[in-house]
Amino acid sequence: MAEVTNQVKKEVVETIYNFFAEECEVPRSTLNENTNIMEDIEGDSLMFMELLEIFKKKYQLNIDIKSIGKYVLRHPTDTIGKVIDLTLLIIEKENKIAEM
Amino acid sequence: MKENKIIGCGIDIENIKRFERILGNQDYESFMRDVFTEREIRINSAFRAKERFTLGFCAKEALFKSFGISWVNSPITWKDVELIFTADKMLNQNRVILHGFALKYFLKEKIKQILFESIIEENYARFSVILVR
Repeated sequence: MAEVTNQVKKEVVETIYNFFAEECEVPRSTLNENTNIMEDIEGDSLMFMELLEIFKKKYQLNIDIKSIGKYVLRHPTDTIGKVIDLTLLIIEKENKIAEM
Repeated sequence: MKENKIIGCGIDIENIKRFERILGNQDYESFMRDVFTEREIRINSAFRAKERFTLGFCAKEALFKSFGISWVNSPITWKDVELIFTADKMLNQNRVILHGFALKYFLKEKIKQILFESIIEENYARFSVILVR
């Protein structure tokens, strides 16, 4: 678990935008928080898993896929903005997100 | 006499280069453990690992699609579906093994057979599934 400081927020936002721009081969400038990852830029679940690994490593997170699944079941995460929110929540709460 | 009925189908295609990158990066160790069983990791690592792991991932995704569910909207997990290669140094002899929620779903839906095809073509792996009741 880590404290979500302004610096962490900035790193997360930058990492996510750069990741999707590179992986989906779209200009960074065309992405915004409302960009739908699957419908607009043809993202997929493997990308989500890769992104998760980046943050697990960077912030030494203890988070299970099952916990994320339980959270996403109640809080659909389809846009870049929602992925950013979810990532910040994972950094702050780790597996406790399953209870939210 | 009841006729066989197709009740679902799913297909997934992945670029093998993506798994080449993952396999070459120690940062992805926990990803591999989250997605693949110990048995899959052992067998897939023994021969043409990038192709085997890519096909294995495609198999899981294709099965999820054929069931109409995924790990984000059901209790199914990546490890509930295994693609096991049954011959050394071959890619085209494999079988699908279900566990956990995937197996429960299979039994609940009274699925009789899972027909599948796995193909490696240039840089891509493709796995397609048809569920028969």
